[in-house]
Amino acid sequence: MEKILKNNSVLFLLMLLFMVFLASAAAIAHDADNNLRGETFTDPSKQFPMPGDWIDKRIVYEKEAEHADADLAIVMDQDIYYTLLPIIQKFGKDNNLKIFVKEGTCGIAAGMLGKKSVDMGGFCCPPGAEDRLPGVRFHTMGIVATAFFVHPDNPVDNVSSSQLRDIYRGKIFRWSEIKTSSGAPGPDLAIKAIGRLHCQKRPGHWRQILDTDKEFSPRLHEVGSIPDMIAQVATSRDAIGWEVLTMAEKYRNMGTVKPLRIDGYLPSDSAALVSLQYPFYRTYSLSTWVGKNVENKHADQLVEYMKKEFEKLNMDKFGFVSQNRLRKAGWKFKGDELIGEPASAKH
Amino acid sequence: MRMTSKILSRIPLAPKLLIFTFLVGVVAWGVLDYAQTKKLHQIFDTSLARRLTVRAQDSRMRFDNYVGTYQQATKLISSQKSIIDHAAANLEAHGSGRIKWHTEVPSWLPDSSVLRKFVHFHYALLIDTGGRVREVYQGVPKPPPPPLLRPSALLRQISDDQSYMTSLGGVPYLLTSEPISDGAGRALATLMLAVELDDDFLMYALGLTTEEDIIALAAGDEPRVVASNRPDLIPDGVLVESLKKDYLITGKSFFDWGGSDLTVQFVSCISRAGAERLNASVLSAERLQRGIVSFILLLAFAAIVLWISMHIRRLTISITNFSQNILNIKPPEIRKGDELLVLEAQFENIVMEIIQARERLEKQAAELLREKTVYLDNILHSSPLAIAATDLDLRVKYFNTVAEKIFGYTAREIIGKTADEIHVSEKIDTTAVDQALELVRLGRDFHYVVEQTRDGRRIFIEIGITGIRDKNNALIGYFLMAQDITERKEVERRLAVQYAVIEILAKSASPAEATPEILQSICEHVGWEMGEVWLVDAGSPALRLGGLWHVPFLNFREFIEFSRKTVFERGVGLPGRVWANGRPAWISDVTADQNFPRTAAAVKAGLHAGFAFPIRSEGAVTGVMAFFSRSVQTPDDDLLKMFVALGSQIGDFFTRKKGEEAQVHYSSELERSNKELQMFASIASHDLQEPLRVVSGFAQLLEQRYKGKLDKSADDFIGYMVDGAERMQQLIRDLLDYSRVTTRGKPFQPANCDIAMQKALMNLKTAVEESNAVITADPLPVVKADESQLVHLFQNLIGNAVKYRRKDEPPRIHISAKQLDDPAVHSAIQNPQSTIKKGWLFSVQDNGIGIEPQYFDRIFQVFQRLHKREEYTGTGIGLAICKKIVERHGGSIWVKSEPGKGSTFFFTMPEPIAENIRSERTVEEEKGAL
Repeated sequence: MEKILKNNSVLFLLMLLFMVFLASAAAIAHDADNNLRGETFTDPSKQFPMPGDWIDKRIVYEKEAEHADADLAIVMDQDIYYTLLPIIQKFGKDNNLKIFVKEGTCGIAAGMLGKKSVDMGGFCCPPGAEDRLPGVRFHTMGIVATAFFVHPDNPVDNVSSSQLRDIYRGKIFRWSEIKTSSGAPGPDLAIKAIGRLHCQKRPGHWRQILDTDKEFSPRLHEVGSIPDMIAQVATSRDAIGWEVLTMAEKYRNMGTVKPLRIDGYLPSDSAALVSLQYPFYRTYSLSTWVGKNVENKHADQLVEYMKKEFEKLNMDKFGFVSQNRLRKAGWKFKGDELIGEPASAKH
Repeated sequence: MRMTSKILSRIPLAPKLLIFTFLVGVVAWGVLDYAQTKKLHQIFDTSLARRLTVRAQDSRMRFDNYVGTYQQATKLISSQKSIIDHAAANLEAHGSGRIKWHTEVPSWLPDSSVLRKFVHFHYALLIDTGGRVREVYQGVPKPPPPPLLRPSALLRQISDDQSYMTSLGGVPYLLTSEPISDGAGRALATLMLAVELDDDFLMYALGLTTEEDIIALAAGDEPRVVASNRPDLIPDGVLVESLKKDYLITGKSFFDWGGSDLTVQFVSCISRAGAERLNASVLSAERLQRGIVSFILLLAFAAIVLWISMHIRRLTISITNFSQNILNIKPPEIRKGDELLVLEAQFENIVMEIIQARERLEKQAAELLREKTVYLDNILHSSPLAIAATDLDLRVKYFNTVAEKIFGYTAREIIGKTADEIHVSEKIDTTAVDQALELVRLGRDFHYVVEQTRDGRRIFIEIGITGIRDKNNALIGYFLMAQDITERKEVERRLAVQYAVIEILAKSASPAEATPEILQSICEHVGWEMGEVWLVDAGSPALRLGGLWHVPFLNFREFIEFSRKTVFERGVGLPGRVWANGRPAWISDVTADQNFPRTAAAVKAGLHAGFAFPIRSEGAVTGVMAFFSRSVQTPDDDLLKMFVALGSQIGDFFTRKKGEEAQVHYSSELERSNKELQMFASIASHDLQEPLRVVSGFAQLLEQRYKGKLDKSADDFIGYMVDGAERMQQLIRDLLDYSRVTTRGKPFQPANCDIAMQKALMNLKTAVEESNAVITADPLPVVKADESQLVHLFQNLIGNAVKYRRKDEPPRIHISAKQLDDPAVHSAIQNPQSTIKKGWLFSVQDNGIGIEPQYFDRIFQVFQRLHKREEYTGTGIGLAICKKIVERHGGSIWVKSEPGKGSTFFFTMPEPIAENIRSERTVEEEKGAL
């Protein structure tokens, strides 16, 4: 009896040790995986130093806004422009304001802010260090899921975030290495990983997949524009790429793409996004000026208006999560700016 | 408008259609051409756009990759040992502010051979850690823009580790920088490469392209080209909008990596020229084909239109002719112009006429219908028959005037009522009616007779029911016709009585047999119970009962016994009064009659009514028939009249039967007498001949032995004896011959008259030759006869013609025969004795002495002679024999003669046999004869 008890104890201990080992391995793997994830926000307290003459400079509109006799001049990244323009137009109509809105990129928005030729800038990424110019204050409207798309004929419909990173690192080479939801392997095709490595100086966005462009596989197919991304995925059965759902809809004429589940969650699942069970997202921000010669009260009004209207967007279709909801879910804000993920976030 | 319409109507269809088609064709051509051109443009534009999209993507990718290589080039160059060593040796942090310029590739950069294959940059700057530009390689004649020589910290930071596009002095540049670090990672300097985004840059980025593959960079709110890879085609400064005319533009996109503040857009253009040329050639070919097809179609259409026009003209003419010839409508003249309009006009005209004609016809038809309805109504009302009509439920719908009289209801009372209601009220048994209706439903008619008593009078109504059917033969009602046939019934009754009596008279052999049947028949037909016949007693002028009949099982015994004992004198009682005045009499009730001696007996017998009528024969009343009924009956004058006629017939019957009995007796006596005569003739002739032969024989012996030996008187006496005996013998022979005509007559068979005549002539040969007689004959027929008697007949007639010739002329005799049914022959026969209508009329004509008319009949009697024996020989029985022969054959014989000129004896014979048989037989027999 004693012998049996003694033997069982040893067995029990061994099993316990094995389980601890497995958990540790998983944690290590998870940590390793997580370490690939780049920073999502920059330090809001840091400002990029600019010379004094620049600080004193007033906002001077460019020709077009000048001719429009605008009450408010805004430049927005094309992504956020598509989503927020109707709200801005409504604001202008409701308040009888002439609002000049220019479409561009984050870089153009940053550049125009740098030239002090606009009242507001719209960004699809969290501000980078160079974007935090003196007097510029950022207001996060909300986050939107970054969807990963494949060709509609690709039977693979779910990848884990770890698999996703491995795909982009070039460690998963063929689709057959990934199982479909029915358990069958994916098609025996070499994976054509497509990436648009925009806003390299800014955190978040693709840097949630892999921190730097160096992490990405040398076989990565880079595209420069959003329509090219959509077109490439829609026309290549072996391709995988990323974009927000609104852009997939905007550029649906380039082709049809199928969003993947990541860790079992669809990008349109805003609840999963809030809890970061869906771990990839973009941050929609608007900037305003604070200070003499640069402030525009209409901009502040618009920001408040925008925050409320953002709530009414079709959250479930496009995976929007408003600032309000983020706050409630424990995301970190400084003022109006989202500066951190919740502590309980599971990546 | 009207004028235009008028003018157009004068133009024939074919040219009008052709012109119209041509105009439509031209318009359609124009529209089609425009649409096709537009469509082709769209197709080509779409194709171009698709191509452009693909090329634009491709171009962008190539551009992106090219731009990206700058960053990689900067990284590679900054990691080279040569630049690290140079930076470490020369770029201390606080060096002089003077920039060292290189126009040749400095040592800190790779060889130009490497740079050529790598990236083409305009400037390479070495910036010390203080942010000052210390060395500049200027690879192009144009100096770098001043902001580049004093890059701000922002610029330096923002261009670090990425390809950054920005505008420097209004010129777009691509900048990329990378820190130069030593082996320990200590920052020594920064390498910055700068290249102006100009035409060269685009050309290097995209390589050689055609006009279909043009990339431009456009900047500004009203985008203008700032650079293009084909500046010869798209020079700088050109408005992008203005390019749309010649180029398809797409792919306006931002430099999208986020590492650019340049509001420059990437524009892809593809020239429309090629597409336009292709478009034009396609259109040209298509227009040519369209033209050819249109021409052919137009020709075909012209042919068809001409063909149609021709047929329309023909149709117009046909309609005109139809209108004129069939409808008798004078159509308007066929004018020249649009054939369809002309046809339309003609047709409208004819339609109008037809409509008017139809209206007239409808009016006429309505009038006719109305007249017909009125006439029909009048017919029905005028009909001698009662007419009623019902629907299927037997509800009376029509009831004419005669029906009102017969049935005793007015139309107003009866119309709307059903037959059942009427039958119930009239207590009519509906069994027959139900049967009738059932038969009518089966498609048959039903007739029945209803007997009713009305006002004490029995009337008979004959009713016929038939179905009223529509044109689909479906039964929709019942039609009833009725008539009062009481009178007819009475007539029938009378006729029945008459017929019955006549039948009895016809089949009865004697009055005794007929009388009871007549009485019974009359009683049964008139429905009376007793009948009696009273006959005139020739011995005592009174009527006595001659016969009686009564219905069985009724007791008339006393009346009968009284009647048997009674005789009626003229005027007494019913029979007596009828006998007296010769007229029928009717007593409605004998028991109340003053002149009815048998009243008491009648009362006991229950007899009341009585009538009697005379039996007449040859005008005289020979009897009376009387009848009695047990009910009082009103006089029926028609019945009495009928019985008066019957009475005569009955009387005649009685008389005739008596005569027939006498005749039968006479006929049997006559026959017996003829037989006795024939026997006598036969026996007598034989018995007479024997002694005559003895006398004649011995007389001849005496003449032979003693002629000349005795005196002349003895000779004369002997001669007289011989002659007398001979004449007696001849007479007897002739008498025998005469009797033998019937007694020894042979059965009739086809006998050739020619042959018979020839035989007769042979027998008369000597007489003919001696008299030099010329005898001719027509072809004679074959008749059904006794040939030997024919020979005898011809022999007697021809013999007489020869014998009774004129002294101054030889006899000319001609025998002929003609058919009796020849109207000319038949009408010439004047002999009333000739009765046969079919047969032959023979004639034997001579030129002899003739016969006086008063002797025409006498000569045919036996032993009748018109001349002395000394003048002409013969016994005078020849013509009697001829007559008997002819009469035996069913013919007759007569003579026509004129004294001194000649005679013609005619005789007729029975039906002939066919001419050809006669002819053949004649020919054969003639041949045989020859």
